Formats: sequence, C-alpha cells, structure tokens
Amino acid sequence: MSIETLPAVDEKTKQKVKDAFEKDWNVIVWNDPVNLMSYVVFVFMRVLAFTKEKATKHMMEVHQQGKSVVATETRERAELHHQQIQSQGLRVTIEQSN
Amino acid sequence: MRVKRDNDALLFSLNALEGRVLLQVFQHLVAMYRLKPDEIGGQISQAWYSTRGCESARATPEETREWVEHLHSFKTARLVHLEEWSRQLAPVAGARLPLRVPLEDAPDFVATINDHRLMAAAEHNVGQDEMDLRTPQELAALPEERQQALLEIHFLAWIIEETLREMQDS
Repeated sequence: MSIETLPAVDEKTKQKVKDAFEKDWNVIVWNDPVNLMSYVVFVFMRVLAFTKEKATKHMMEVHQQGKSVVATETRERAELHHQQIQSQGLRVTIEQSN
Repeated sequence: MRVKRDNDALLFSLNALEGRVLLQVFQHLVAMYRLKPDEIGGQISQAWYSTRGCESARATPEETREWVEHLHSFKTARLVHLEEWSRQLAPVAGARLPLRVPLEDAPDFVATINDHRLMAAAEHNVGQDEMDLRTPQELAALPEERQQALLEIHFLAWIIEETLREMQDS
C-alpha cells in the first residue's frame, strides 16, 4: 500500500487560517475633540457590551492617553467592531498586534 | 428643551427656535445621507467615512470600497427615522413642538445627531481649541459661520446628553 503525503500548505492558506482563529487584531479607538465622553461610554456599552465601569475606564484612556485598545479579536470580529464603532462616529482603527 | 420618558418612548418638548434648528439639522442630514460617500466633500468625508482603519488593516482597494459602502448603508438606514422626526417638527405657530422618539430608535437618534456635530466640526474646522471656548467674548472673536457651527455643536451635545440620561434612567 502506498502512502500519500498531504500537499504542503502554502503561505496564503496559513495566513487565512491564522486570521480566522488567532485573536491578534487590536481594535483601537482614538481621541477626538467633538465626541462627548458620555456618548463614547454609550457606544462602548452598546457595541462592545461593556459594563458602564469598563466603558468609562476605556473612555478615560481615550481621553487622557489619546487612544485605547478596546478589544483584541480575530480579524473578522475586529473588522466587525471597526465598522460598528465607526458607524457611531468614533475614530477607530484595527491593526495586528505583532 | 425638555425630555421625559413616556412609556416606551422619549418625549421631547422644544420651543420654536429649538424646533426650527433641529428641523434644519434633520433636513441637512437627509440631504447629506442621500449623497454617496464619493460625492461628499473632503473634510466631511474624512469625518464620516475615514478609511484610516482600512489602511491599518491592510485592506485591498476593493475591500475598502465595499467597507465604505457598508458604512454608508448604516446612514441610509436612518433616513426613515429622519423623515419621521422632520414630519413631527413641521412648524406650528406659537406652540411648543413635541417630538416622540421610540426608545428602540433612541440609539439611532443620538448617533444621527452626533453625525451632524461631526459634520459641522469638519466643515467649519472646529477643533479642540474652539471646543474649549467658554465665554461669549471668546466665541465672538470667531468668524460668524464658525460661531454658528459651534453653537449648533453644543446645542446638539445638550440634546445627546439629555437623551442619554433619560435612556439610562429608563
């Protein structure tokens, strides 16, 4: 009986698998002069299901440090948060953490 | 402006001037939401449809285009609300204007009003320095259009704060 070896996985496929399962995408919210603190808290609670305390902590980080990493997720989920948060008018980016 | 909870809705009561300003805001938003993202001017487009996040996510041009289109669909979905709120604010001489916003639509209400604040700030180059102005004398030093934009931004902030407070209490 001959033994067949599986074909080698190419880099593109490896990257796709990595993107699908690895939670290494940061969702970063940036400070801006117009959005209200209370509104930012509201958006975090609504979009990210944060408690008021957690939402307030991240809002203060945005306010005082200029940005806050509000989630670290798979690429797909980070993209979803990116779109949801920006649809509410906040400044947001996503980037791979490593 | 006063707002109170009325069963499953928020009931706003606005004086004639407040009602007129809010109606203009809604009408302006209807016109802007109907425009495609590439039809909107640079500063406003930057405020509403910034693709900075797509760049940091290394999205392809095609993915970025789709992303912006999807973002636009969030805004067009609010048109039906804006038309209803505008209808309610149709001027009535000498009366206080009521505006009823169902609680389930309240998140869209604040996001929509916030969009106008972002748009006004972008259009009139209102930044941190202008947002920090606190006295009428400081405000008066600005060109008239920027003064008006700033007043509108603060008026809408007041509505958002009051709305969030009522939502939280409910």
